[in-house]
Amino acid sequence: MRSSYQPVSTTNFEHENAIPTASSSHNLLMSQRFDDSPPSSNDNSIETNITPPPEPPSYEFDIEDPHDDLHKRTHLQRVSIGFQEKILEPLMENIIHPLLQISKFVPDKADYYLSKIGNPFILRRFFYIIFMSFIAYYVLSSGYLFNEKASGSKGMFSQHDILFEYAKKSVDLAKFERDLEYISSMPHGSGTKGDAAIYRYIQESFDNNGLKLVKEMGYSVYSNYPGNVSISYYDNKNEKHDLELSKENFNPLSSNGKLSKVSLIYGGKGTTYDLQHLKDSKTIEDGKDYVLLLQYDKLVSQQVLIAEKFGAKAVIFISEPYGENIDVVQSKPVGLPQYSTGDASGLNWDGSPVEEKDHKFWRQTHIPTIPISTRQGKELLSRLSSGGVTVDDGNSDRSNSGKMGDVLIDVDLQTNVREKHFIPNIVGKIEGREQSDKAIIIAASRNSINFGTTYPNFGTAALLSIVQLFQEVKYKFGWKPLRNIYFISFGGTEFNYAGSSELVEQRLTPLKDEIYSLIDISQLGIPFAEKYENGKTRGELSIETHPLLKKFFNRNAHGNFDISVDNVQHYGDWTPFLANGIPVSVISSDSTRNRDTPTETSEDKFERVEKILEDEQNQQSVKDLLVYLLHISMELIDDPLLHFDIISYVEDIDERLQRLEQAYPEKLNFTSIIKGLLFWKKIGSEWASWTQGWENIVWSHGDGIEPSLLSINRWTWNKKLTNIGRRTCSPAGLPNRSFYKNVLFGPTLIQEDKSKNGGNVDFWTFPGVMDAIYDDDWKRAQEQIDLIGKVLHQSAALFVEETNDIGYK
Amino acid sequence: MPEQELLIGQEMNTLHAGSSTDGINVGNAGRTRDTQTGVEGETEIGSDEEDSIEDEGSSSGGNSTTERLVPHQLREQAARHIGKIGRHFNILDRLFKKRTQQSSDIQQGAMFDGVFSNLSAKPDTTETEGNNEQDIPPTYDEAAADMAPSYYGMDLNNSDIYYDEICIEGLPVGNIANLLWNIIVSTSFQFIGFLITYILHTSHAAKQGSRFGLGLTFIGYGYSMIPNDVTSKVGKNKSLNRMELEDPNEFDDVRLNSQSTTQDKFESHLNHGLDEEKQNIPWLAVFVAFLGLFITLKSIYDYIQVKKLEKKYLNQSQNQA
Repeated sequence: MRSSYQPVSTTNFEHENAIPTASSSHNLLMSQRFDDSPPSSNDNSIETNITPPPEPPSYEFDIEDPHDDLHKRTHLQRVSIGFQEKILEPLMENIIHPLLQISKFVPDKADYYLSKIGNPFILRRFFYIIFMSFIAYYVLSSGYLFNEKASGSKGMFSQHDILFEYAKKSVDLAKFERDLEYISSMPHGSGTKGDAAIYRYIQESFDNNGLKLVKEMGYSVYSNYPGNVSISYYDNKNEKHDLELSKENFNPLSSNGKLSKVSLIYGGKGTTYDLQHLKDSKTIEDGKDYVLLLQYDKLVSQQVLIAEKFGAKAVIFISEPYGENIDVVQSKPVGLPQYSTGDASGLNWDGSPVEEKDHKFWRQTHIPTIPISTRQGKELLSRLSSGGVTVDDGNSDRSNSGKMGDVLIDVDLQTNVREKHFIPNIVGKIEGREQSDKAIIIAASRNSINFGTTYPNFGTAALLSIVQLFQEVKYKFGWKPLRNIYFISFGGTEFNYAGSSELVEQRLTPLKDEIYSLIDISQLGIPFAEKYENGKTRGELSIETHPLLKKFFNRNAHGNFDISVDNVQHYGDWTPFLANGIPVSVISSDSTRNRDTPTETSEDKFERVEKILEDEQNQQSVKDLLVYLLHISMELIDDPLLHFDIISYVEDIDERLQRLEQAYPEKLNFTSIIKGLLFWKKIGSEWASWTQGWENIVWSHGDGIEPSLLSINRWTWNKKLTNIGRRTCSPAGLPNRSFYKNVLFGPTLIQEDKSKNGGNVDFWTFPGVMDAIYDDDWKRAQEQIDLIGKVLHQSAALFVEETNDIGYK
Repeated sequence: MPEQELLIGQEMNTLHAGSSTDGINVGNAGRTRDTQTGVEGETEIGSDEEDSIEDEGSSSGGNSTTERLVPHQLREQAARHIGKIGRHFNILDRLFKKRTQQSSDIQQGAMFDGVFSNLSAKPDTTETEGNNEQDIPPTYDEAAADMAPSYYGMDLNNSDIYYDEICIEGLPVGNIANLLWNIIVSTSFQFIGFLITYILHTSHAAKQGSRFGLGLTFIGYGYSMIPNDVTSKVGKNKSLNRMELEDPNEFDDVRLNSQSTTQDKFESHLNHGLDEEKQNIPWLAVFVAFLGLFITLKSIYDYIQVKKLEKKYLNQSQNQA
């Protein structure tokens, strides 16, 4: 139709005319006034009526002459004028103006050449795009920008291998040692000035690592501090001998008391068996006061409980020697976590008194306890007559118990009690990017009335190093975990785990909603290389965890460590979490867990660890340990699917059930529990197959890209899985111990085998049943079993039903 | 009414001179005249609509100011020539013109007129010589005095999306919303956003918005290329406050007096781990960031210029009216 129109531009002649016009139209429009001086003769009426062509663009700021009235101007104005003269004007002249010139010249030239190819108006657009595309391509392919490998991710998820490789290289042992040295440089018992310095230091370290959310959460709890202490005994000639005691002879949370001329009786490790033996032999009698001399056992609080039960008026603990050193004193805390952990003052956190004042709420001993050194213990033992009965010392030695009236002693203990003393937890947080309503806690206890290098400082230093490693990975790869991580340094450990208990008490519901795992690293120590296999050193680590996570820890067995996985078997800052069904994992070195000396003595100093750290193999061990911690916490927090394995959970409970049945055959009926377990097993296989399907879709076929429908499904599964633990709680708690709500896992009140034959009894599973069995109350035991069955069944039914979060409260 | 029409015609003529060809003829008057005949035949059909309008304008009498300045025929020819060049360079115009053309029926049937189909384009040989003499381009003054923008008000069809829009360099100016919208799209979708918005821009605002977004994208690239200094971000080399206390076991007064205490000077000789040396910023990052900055500033500057121009045109047209 318009064919006659097109050939126009094809003639060369046309180009010659058109090119410069089209290309420079813009410039000419703007500057035509200056291009040619208009012939003055052509003045006419239009000229006068119509405003002249626009001024050329002014890119200079409209500023008054700076030289004008300089002295009248304010300081601010002078500064602005100076700025204009010295910076703005040279900038304009030397940079902006030439640039503008170029920017005018280049398009003109470009248009000129473009017009040789075709219509510059269109081509300009495309050439601009092509040109910019080249720049962008060059930039993107330069390798300086983030690509998948550099960002350590595959598809929508992180590639942990890359992160670990980096973490391995960046472990900062010097920081670890510096932190350990400083934290160990002074005693830092809860609520002391030393602790104030240490928790500030931890806070500062968190801040320094760039942790955004760091908070100090303080609580007022019952505390006591060393005061006056004296022990004197009377010899045969009724001569008084004082034991040389110091502030080290102190058991945190011991009661005050004064006794004079009371008989001293040796009770070995003070088990019910031992004391019953003494009672049976009439060595001790009801109504007659006596002071019990005991060797430390694993669970000190239980020793005190039993001593009280048998009518002892005070307990003197003999410390274990540290190698050849028999003068060390172990200052073990004697708070009673058996009934409940937390503030020992018997008041609720809001200050209201707890309703029941009976022994259910004992958190503190009622009798004074004083630790003495091995040497002093021997001195007292030597004074005891050969009468009485012989009792087991625990290490295949036997000593005489002595008799009433054998040795009389004076005991005076006056500690400094502060009913409401400030004790802080330090909490840091890394925000998750996906399910930010779910989180894990990595925690370490902080306080030690001694220097505490091995315990708990080693764990605290590890915590600080882990935070730094996480932050390094975060900054290096722009990494963010899928769910939140909290780093907590708990205070008040020696005061019946006050810090962690108060936290749980205050924020029980949010914690149960959010936390699906707590990892405690306070009892870490250098995992000494004990074995050699193929030239490799292997340290030992013991992990106590919830059965849901057992498979995870077993699977993640580290090449450098022998790892033993078991249920949680002792008290610690994790106990209040455990009591409320939150799955906890305690990673520890055996020696620290058993509190082998010099732990809890004044000899637990940095110099000792410094020497150990000089060995390169040990350095490597610490490094491996830190990387291992990072590894497991990262898998827990950043793997898209939670590592909760329901089937192994069911199998574990089943196994424990069988053990119970074997121990007490035909006494109990486990049908209800088994029914509940079968229900869970069904869910477990469903979860396992779903997991497999997910892995197939996302990893095998999707290269890490997850369809959004699957994401929603996965989140729901994760959410439901996190509820498993808390659903194993009964709102009423255990009989007489309402603090412990978890009916599956928790401490038995008295953890000793009355038969004194097995030694292999599991005191941390089915606590309600075990309590009843200890009391020989088989009816209650059956009730407890039925309760467990009901809880299991209900929680499974809820698991199937629920689509939303429903707590039991 | 005739006065009005004349004004339109006049605007249109001068407009092309103002925008696409901007009075190049001033210097090359003679040359333009020479070429007239050759080109005219080819252009006539294409510019039929304008012709008709122009005819209307010219037929209404020769008393106007323009008529006095330049002979009618010369003016007509110049306009035709200029218009042709203008159209040639203005894709959008061609695009939108088409629609108008189809709806108009002025030349309907011309294509089906057998041998006479090109009759209207036939050069009028008798008039050519006389025309040539009169075929003088407008003087600089005339051109300069005529500030009417290129297509302003030319198309009286209200349905046109550019109705009442001022076109500069063949593009409407566009408003600030246009600019912002394109900045948003171009920035949020990064380079792809720029590609899309730039290919599809239909106004200066959109174009500059698109470029602005590109600039920001480039600045972002530059920023991302700055090496990640992890070591200093996690404060590896920073020393913390390690105060030593004389009375760490004090439990009643736990206030720390930082001034009166000494510092723990312990230094570890153990491995510091990967201590990333501070890397230099690659020149590419600097280049890209500056390029981005330049593009950003330039786009704003250009948009302001176009806006200023538009304002001037508007003022002028108001004055003229």
